[in-house]
Amino acid sequence: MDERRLREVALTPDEYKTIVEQLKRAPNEVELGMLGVLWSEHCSYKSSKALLRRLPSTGSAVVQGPGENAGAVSIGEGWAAVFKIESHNHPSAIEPYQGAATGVGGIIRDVIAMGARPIALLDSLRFGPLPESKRHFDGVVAGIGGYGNCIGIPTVGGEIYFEDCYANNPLVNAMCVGLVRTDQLVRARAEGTGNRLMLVGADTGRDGIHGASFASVELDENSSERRPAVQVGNPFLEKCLLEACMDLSHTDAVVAIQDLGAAGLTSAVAECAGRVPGAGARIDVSLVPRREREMTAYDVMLSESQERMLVVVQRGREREVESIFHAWDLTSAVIGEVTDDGQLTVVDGPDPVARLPVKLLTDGAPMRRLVGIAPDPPLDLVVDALPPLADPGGTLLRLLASPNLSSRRGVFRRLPAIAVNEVLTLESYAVLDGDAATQGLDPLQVSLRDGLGVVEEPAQAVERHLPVHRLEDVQEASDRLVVGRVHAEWPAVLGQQAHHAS
Amino acid sequence: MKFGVVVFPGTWSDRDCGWVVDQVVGAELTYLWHKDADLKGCDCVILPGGFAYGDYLRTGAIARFAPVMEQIGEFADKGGLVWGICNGFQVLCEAGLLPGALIRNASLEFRCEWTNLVVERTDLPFTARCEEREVLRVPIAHGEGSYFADPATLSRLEQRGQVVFRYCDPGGRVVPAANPNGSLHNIAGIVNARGNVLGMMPHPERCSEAELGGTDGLKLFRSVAENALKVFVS
Repeated sequence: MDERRLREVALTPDEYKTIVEQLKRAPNEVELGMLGVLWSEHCSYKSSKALLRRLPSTGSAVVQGPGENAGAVSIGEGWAAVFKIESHNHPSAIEPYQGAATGVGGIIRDVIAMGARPIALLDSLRFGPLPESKRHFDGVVAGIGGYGNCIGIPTVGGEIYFEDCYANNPLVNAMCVGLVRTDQLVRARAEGTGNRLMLVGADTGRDGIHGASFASVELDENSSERRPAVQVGNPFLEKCLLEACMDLSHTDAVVAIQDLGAAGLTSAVAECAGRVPGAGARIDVSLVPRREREMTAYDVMLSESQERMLVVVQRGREREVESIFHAWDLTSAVIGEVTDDGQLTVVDGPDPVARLPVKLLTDGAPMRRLVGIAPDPPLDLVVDALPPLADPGGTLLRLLASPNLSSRRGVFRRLPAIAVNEVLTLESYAVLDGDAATQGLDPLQVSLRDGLGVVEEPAQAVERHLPVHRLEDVQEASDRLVVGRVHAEWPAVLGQQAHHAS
Repeated sequence: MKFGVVVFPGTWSDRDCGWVVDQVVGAELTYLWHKDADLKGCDCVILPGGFAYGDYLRTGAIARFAPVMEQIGEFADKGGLVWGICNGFQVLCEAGLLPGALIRNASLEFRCEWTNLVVERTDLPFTARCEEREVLRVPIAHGEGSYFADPATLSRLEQRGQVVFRYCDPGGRVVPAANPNGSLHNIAGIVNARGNVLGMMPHPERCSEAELGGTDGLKLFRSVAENALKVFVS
């Protein structure tokens, strides 16, 4: 096998060998592309799965653990909170606005796929120092805010830090929280041989082909050539898709809903079938609505066009589902059906295109065992041996002015952060340099309580709660002290319906 | 008293407005679908916030052509109450039911924050429960909320007292520092000459319950619920 071609699909020679052994033949071009995206780190977690398994994921309140589009936890009174967090680092490094926006779009669809209404967004962001990383910083903040705002989902919280190591590789993690009645939770399982696979939402284009593989290679000076691998978002379409999917809950014709994200149709169909033992799927790419001409089967199977969902519909009830999407002026098309042969079969009209075992796609990637390097031991600072600060007040002000400790208001006011009626963010994010000043409070009247900055009445509070002569306290505080969050409340995310249901 | 909340594709404050009308005020509520040319006998039509038709091209520019808008125009002509909030204000300006336009914020950035509004008209069905020059605390969330009108229109608005809300400081002083978006004359909301069509950028539906940080918005909803009928009588 040509090594250059293998690199294009981000497979190693060893992985290729495994594929040939399993298939007992060489894969064709389309099959190679499909395996490349599903065996990418982004889809298979081949390097990190062993570590992720060590995270706790069970408990009496857990309604849905790992393995579905999103997790779900019971919050009582018959309601479940559905949530998903996902990184969109590489796309955001190349094209900050669209990279971040489509990251938000993807997790919103994951929550929708569970049958839940998304009600809140949160973000965890890391950038290189300013002003050098301003392009990343501005683009990502605008992308997150723009997409979420257009759909009407508030960004209720987050965190942001700046460090040299993120200069070329910003971290963009977006989280979406949704609400659903526990008994209306939808799972993405392709049950029922003969049930129809419907592709709904946006038409399929060439955007984002090999995006998942791209997420799994090193970024370098040629990375901008990968720009076609970054998708472009259409939040308006996603809003319509959201409402249409909420309307789907009024019918029992729907068996499963699956988001099309990384690795597009290939991943959506394989994962949906892979969750049901023995299930397979047969799809005809000629039935996929397209936005570009002369797309090949390869393009259609690997496209990462945004704002698409796969819906598994009971055979014979396709029209019901179609009419719901039609009301929102959305395209829907039956593109295939559920089978019981355990194979993902792709045809293009009369022509066979690909035939791969579902399990090879979803679980076949050889796990990588990474060798860890022990981190440097923490600095052995003897606090009492440090010289006292000559000007503690001045030092504190400099600390407060540093990007990693300063007020986040500049970011928050650019995000749709104020609560809508389904989300309560308890009065937050007043700031030292702004609101507190106008309220006649001294910026120094801040103290640490429960890990949050709290404005105290007497100026001595600083001395009492935050002894600035102890450097380690300040350093330790830096990852907990939310400077300027005057009212010490975490954003409390509560469903108002749940709240009023009692 | 029956409220109708218009739903365009891309509208997202519909459920919040509906919640306040139905659950907080306790008035009758119906949703009005953009494709339907039927106002279902509503006494007050709310055009809520969001991004109608994605706001592609220009805010409100596509929504004004929706079938439901023709009915809303006739309804307004007959004296019916029409209340545009945020995107709804933008749509009303595009539809010619209110003068002027909402342009990009002076900062060129989206702004989401609490603002103070001084109430300059309390003789309207929308503000009857407010005190003279009362200061309301209401949040904004927009990228295109800077009110603009040509000098002649602006002076006509001022002369006729059509400015209902202005951004102000907490003490009620209309100062440049309190203007979040560069609106001319700190304008946050205006009414038509007849007094039955109101447009405002801030979101009263987001501050109508104490849990959400304020209840000033509820005064406007209550005003409409209690005073709408008076307008029709007079």
